[in-house]
Amino acid sequence: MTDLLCNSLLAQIQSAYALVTPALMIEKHSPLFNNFCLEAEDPRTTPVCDLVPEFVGLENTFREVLKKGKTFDLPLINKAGNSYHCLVSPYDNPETPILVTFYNRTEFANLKQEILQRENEIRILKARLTAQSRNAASNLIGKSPALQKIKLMVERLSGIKATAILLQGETGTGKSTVARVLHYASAAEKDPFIEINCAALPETLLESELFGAVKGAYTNALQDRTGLIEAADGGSLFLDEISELPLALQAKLLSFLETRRFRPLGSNREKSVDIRLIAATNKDLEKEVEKGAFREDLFFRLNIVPLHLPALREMDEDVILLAEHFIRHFNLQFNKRIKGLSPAAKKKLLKHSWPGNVRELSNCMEQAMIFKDHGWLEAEDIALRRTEPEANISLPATGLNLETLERNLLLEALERAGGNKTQAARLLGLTRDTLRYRLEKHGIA
Amino acid sequence: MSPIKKKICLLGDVGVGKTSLIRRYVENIFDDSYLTTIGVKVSQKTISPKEGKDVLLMIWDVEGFNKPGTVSPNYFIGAAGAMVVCDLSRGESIENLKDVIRDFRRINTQAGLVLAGNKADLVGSTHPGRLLFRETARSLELPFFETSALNGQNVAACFETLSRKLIEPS
Repeated sequence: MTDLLCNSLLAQIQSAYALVTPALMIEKHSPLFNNFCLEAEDPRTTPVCDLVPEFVGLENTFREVLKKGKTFDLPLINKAGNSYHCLVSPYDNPETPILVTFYNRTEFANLKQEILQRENEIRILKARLTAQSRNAASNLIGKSPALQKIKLMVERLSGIKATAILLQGETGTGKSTVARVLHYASAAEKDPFIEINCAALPETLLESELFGAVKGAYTNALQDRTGLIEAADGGSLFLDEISELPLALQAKLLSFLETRRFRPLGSNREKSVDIRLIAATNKDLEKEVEKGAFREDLFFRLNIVPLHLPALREMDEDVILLAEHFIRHFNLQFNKRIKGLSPAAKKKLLKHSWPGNVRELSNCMEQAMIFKDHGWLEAEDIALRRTEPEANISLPATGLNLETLERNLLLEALERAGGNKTQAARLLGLTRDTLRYRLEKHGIA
Repeated sequence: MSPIKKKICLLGDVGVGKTSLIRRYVENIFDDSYLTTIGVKVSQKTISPKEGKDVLLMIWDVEGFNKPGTVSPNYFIGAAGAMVVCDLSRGESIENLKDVIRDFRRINTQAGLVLAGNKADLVGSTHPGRLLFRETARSLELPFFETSALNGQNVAACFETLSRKLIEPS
């Protein structure tokens, strides 16, 4: 009668119990306990730790309950749409000294789920946004004042979408990277980033590529085509080499920038989009305006926020930080274990003028790592592009001391050639005799 | 002969995709809706990591770690191994791997471990999350996989590597 009452009560609250012997076999259980057992096992012949999936591996824990008389619990076990709190407790009976109970806690679990669901969703979203903006900023590597200035500008600009941004800088200074950073620093995960190189397409194609076209707008326009401006709606459009944009298209782009509306090729209907426009050029746009190759009004519209990216030679020791970043990158890409740069390799990188900027440095590190598998990159592993310094040297506004300059160049050539006069002469474009004469003139042994 | 039974736990921050990895491995399905796990859910899968050696895995989907000490350490007792999961698109979940492992190791010093950098489909090949995950895994000297419950990438490989550790402990 007691068993019947007990089982009936437990069934009403959807809970179950079992009594376990010192040999960890089930002696007695309520009918609902069968729901907690593996179907393939027989409760009469299988030890409890092989019978209940949640007890696999818990033999020692059961023995501890026996030995120390201390309850063990597993809170909130989910099974068949319900949640249970499992207790393994000592029971005052030498034949069945362990009592296993599964209490139904579904209501409590549902409540907890409701509270934590929202909390966790916000937590995940926040973490992803933090990671996204942190990753965007981490693409700008360097500590030099020139780069710090850029980082500050990028931070300020990332929240302002309406204003067009003009990126200027020599080739290879990372204009495309900065454009991406500007986009990802504030964009939502699904906001598009669309990039086009204005020099890569002929004028006729460029117009339909940018603004789109309707069916029949031109000979091969067999269906409506969405332009890049429309595709970038809600995100950013990056126009690289904007100086190469034909004059006719410059007028159309200006009109779009002023009204945020445009008309696809062959269409009578205007469309409106919400995009951030980022333009880039390695040319001096003011000079292009003077030459008549770039519209002055468009230049003023784009030049509201000019961002001048520094050349690598202006970034002091950032060259080393960037080189180390590329080593980590190519270690992963090529599955290599290069430890870093030797002091001589660092010195070599710092001395180079990097006319091709970050792109040249990246190529240089990639080349060096193709031929080396592990250890440190040494100076001789790094092949630098030959530069033509005479083309880059111009008289500073403050003037210079020619004698000192000549002496310094002689010393540098000797050092770079490891003291070999023939090689040093070659570096300076001199004969060996002329070099010897000049060395004597400056008293260099 | 009934297979030997082994308990493994899937551990990691909330929302890294532990439940999705189990569903992909056990049922070969994926659902991108997120329902936070409360407590634990045990799934079963029979595998044969070695010829003639069937193992019935008891795969514990343990609720995510959102604050230190919120997950009951009793869940870890008796586990022969654990897969510690992070989300490659969330650096924070990668940084927390060490804490999760430390909590697990306090209870379970001998269990085999494997790391899963999940949601590989969300991050590009040069994403800093991948770099951080690989560096973390190397520093911990643990086997690691970049996985995707969405497309199944490396999911089976990750579970199988852990299973082999269970029957051939180093």
